[in-house]
Amino acid sequence: MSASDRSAAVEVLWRQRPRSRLLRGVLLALGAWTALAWASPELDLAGFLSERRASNLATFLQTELVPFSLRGTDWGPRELASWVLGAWRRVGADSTFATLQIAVVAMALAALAAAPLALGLARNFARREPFARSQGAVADGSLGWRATRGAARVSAILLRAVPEYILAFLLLAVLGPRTAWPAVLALALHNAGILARLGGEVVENLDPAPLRALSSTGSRRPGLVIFGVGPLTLTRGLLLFFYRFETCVREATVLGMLGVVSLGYWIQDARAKQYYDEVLVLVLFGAALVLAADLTSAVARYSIRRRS
Amino acid sequence: MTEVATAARRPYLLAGKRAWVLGLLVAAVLCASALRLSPAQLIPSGSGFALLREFAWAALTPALDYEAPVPEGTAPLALKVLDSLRSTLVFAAAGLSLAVAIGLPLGALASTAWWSRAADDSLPRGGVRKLSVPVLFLALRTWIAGMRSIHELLWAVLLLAALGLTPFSAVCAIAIPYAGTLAKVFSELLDEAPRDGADALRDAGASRLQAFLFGIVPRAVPDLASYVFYRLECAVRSSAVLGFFGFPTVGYHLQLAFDNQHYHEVWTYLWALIAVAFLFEALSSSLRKRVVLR
Amino acid sequence: MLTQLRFTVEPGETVALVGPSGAGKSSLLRLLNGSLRPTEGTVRVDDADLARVSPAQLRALRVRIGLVPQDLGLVPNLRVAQNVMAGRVGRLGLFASARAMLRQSRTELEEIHAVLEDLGIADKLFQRVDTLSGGEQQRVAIARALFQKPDALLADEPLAALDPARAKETLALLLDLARRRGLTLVTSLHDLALARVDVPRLIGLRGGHVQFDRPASEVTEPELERLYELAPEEPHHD
Repeated sequence: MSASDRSAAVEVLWRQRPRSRLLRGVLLALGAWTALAWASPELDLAGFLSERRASNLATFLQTELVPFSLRGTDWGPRELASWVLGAWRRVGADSTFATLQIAVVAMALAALAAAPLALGLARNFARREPFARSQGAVADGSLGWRATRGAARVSAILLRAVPEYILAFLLLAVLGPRTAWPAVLALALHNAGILARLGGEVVENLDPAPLRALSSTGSRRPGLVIFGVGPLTLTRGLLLFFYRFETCVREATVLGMLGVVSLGYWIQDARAKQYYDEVLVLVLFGAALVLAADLTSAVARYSIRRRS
Repeated sequence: MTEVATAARRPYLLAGKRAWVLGLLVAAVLCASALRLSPAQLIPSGSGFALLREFAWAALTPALDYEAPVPEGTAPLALKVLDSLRSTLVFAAAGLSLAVAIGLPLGALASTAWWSRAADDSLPRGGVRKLSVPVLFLALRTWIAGMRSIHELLWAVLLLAALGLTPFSAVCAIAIPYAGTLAKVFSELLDEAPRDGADALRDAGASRLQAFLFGIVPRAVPDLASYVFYRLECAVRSSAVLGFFGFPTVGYHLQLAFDNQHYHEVWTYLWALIAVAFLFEALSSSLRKRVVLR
Repeated sequence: MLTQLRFTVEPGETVALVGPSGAGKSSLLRLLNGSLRPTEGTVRVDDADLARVSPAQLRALRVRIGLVPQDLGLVPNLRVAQNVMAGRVGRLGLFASARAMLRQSRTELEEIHAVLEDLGIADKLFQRVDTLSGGEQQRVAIARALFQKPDALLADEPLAALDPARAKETLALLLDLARRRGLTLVTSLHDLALARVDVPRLIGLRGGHVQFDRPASEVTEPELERLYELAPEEPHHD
């Protein structure tokens, strides 16, 4: 092939190369969105670091963060440790455990709600003949099942769409601050949406062969779930659960700021009184809890993976 | 024989995983009782019930105009909603882009994907250098975990106290924890990516950095991209909630409207958030269908 | 485990390694490009002892030796052009290689096109590698090694993913390319049928030992069959 022929051939191939207009469009939009965001008047970073702000920051770091009872005294690690311990005994311990408990109950409820929703989302299960070999669009084109799948999908999106904080805010107004239900429900609903979506994908990725065998022995849908889908998705389901658990603990910490008794409640309390030393130590308790949850979740996932 | 058939015949084989499920249910019940939760508490009181009913009905008729008289010259509600949405999106994009700029390099450094199968001829030799690598590694991972474990709202509380109500506080409040999660996910993706491409590059004489950048990173990019897209959606939600703390995003106006009992207005903002979620869902499923060739 | 090996490959020679799986062919190839270190003895390339050279020198040597690995080592979500370009990053600095991987210049593309044309897959230039068949991917891997402009080419089972007709064709192609470009070629072959190929030098490996090292024309049928016959309790040697 001569040089000019080759040049032309390469040109042709370049023009015909496979590319996704959608992808390029989305990337362009995201780039534009980011550029516009940084250029927008809200983010006036030029006037940001002024004399006053810098000195405020210095005061904050050097004075306000230091525990009140230790200010002005000659304090060291031992005094700090005893102050921290005092804060823990006073407000930290109970609210940390409350936070954890809220997260556990919320995740359990979320998982219970997400299971049927996930089944309703799965294109290979939520159809006339579960796991049958699809003959084009005919097999799962029945209106009833398409509506079911559509409803499941919309529900999952709706549950996910409203941030837990706002959900809790609204529930608090309806249910009152005396119980932990606003926080628990807000977390449960939001995470149900997320777990359902992820769970649906797990079911869709199942190898249909053993399930087809099971259904050919006469198993109806409930049987298929208990003896088929259930055992096969249990491992991945547990992994997803623990993956989300850590995030749920994080969120539970914060929901207290609305008035439900978790760590966030005392953080808000200290913040209102401008006791930033307490704010910091409570935030750090929260961080420690999240790290503990992260560690637990990692250990749990590791041991689940090893057993299977 | 399949796992399913054997499971049907001998259910106790699942005892291991079933124990987890049982254990979790028991834990949940114990925690619920510790919190003194009971289903009866779910029934709202009289006033709560009235609120619930009014609020639920308002869902069907979100406000397109102010519910109460407003001062002269106030912009129409639609404009205000759009503007608050725009602010929300600005903080979200700025926060996430900063998180990407910080988190991806951090994640790359914290991964173990630097060592390839080919003879480790350019790993640091000698005592001190040999010790510094794992120590650095551990320090990095701890730093990332620390960034991640504090919720963006709590970062906002701290930054508000330290820096005041500036846009920088909001952007950093989102950027820091998001950078932490991005770093963790990216480092895991890099750790799990197949190394054969990088090994082949090293066989061709590439340096470790080149093998890493051109052999391993490309394999992690698709999953990373979809995760970043998901985090963008989360960032919009976080940004909206930051409004409860005084920043000019959707949450601020939503809270104000709710406190004034303008429930139709509240629903206008809620529907805006829901619309954003549907938009993201539609985009992400189309992208997955078109771009992922399986 | 390879034992008691002692041989030399001259520049421009064509060598085929044959033997059943587990004989040690892959290990031998990896010893030759320095990615495997011998527990005893030395490997010398161009009079340099591979175990003693500095990392920079080893890299420079590896640039001159093209290896086509058994698992191909391609990046599936990148295009063919990028995968082939990757063969040359060893010669480039960091920024130059980044530029080359992201966007190949016209000249580079035409060169890649030429290499692919030799292998019959020129029209796949901008396709994503994971859309290609196994045989096509195999040829992309070979193209990458050739694009490296090496002095020597080591190919580990380069015909494994190809159907018999294609395999014969590609083997002939490899031998021809090596001859035309003056490359030293060492290729391993798994299949007995292909082993009966007319190469200047055929080395038979079995259980880590060299059974014969002669021109193909001098190797007898019974010798080849004995090489591949199934023996009971043969421990795995790769």
